[in-house]
Amino acid sequence: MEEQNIIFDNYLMGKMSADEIADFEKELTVDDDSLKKDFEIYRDLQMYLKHEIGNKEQNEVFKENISNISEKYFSDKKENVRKLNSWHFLAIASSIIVAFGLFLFTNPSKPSYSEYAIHDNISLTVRGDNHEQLQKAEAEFNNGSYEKANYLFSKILQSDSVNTEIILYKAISEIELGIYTDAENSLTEISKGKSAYTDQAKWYLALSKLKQEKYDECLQVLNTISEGFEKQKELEDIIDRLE
Amino acid sequence: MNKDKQHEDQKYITGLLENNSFVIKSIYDKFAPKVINYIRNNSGDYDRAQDVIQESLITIFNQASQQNLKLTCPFDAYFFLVCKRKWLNEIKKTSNKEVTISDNDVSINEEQMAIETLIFEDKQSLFNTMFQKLSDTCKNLLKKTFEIKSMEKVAESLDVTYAYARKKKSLCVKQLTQFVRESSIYKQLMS
Repeated sequence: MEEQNIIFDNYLMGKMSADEIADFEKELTVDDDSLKKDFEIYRDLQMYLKHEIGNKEQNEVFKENISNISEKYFSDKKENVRKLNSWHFLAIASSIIVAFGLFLFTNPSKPSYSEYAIHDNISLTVRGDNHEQLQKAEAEFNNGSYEKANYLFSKILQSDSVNTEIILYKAISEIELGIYTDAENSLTEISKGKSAYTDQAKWYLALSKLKQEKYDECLQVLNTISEGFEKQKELEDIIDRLE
Repeated sequence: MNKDKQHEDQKYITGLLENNSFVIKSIYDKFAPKVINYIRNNSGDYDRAQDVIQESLITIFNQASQQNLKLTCPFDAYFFLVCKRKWLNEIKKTSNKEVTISDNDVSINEEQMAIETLIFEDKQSLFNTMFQKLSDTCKNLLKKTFEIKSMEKVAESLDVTYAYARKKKSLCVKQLTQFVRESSIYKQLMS
């Protein structure tokens, strides 16, 4: 068995010659599948331990982030239910008043950047050993201190120049600061890539155009965002108001 | 659709792996309402829905981190099925009621993916239980092995020889493998 584990290990770590790999894989397919079962348990356990122990810190960061997002999402929902239960009629009445008020104030004016540029608190992914700098940047951004955040993002990018998440947030800070050309160059680059941020980048590119009152260009960019984008409602709202 | 072709919704899996807050928030905004609705209409409430969704996302993250989780169907359908089956299993456990899980309206592809994720989750919980059953010496040695990675340094930190550390590690892994193989839960999962 010990011998067997060493063979499994060598196979998983790529320490076998081509002939040894072929022999081992042939053995795995013989009729009696006990070797195959042992191998699968061994492989799954190795992956489990590597993930649970080796990536412990990263896993904790993920769980904390999920827990924060979940808490925020559900507290809004539960709050709504509570409000509805006790203030059902009053809520409906006041929402009609608010809606009417909004109609009077916002219609038929053009949409403005400040109505849509509501940045949720960010929580940056830790990569490498730039933990402290990331935390500072995150705090400044969440605080609305975009100049300081922008400076810190530049610093982080000096050592991690391909970090798409940071490039995106740097661009958002730049829009806030009115540095449109740099922001738009970065956002265009991200939106052409294959990361998880392409639609986010397009959304902020559109907001940058909106802030500069370039309405046609804003519309053009909005129309390239994928169906089902998380801010679909706001997106349609802007389109409706611009068209 | 080709069963093996990666679906464009893979971006949600990648987003979870990257701990991307934008993507995680969008998963909540887009896909949580359907799950909440289902759970509230089937003897649950907001609190239970919150737990089921959170646990499912952590399982998907773990699975994607350890295996190559390739999404071959829309994330919406897959995620809903994972949460739904998880919830039905929970009702089954707590009420001792016979719950028949049948998903006539979903494709085999989605169902297969969701089942694999739930088997993965059960295996993880079994591995954890079996790990706790090991002796303290074994637990400690394995923890160090996966934290430090270099066996020479593990031996050094435990003040034992390299040969002893390696042999002991092998024995501990052997013990753990045996616990798993002999457990009735594992046999059930693999049947």
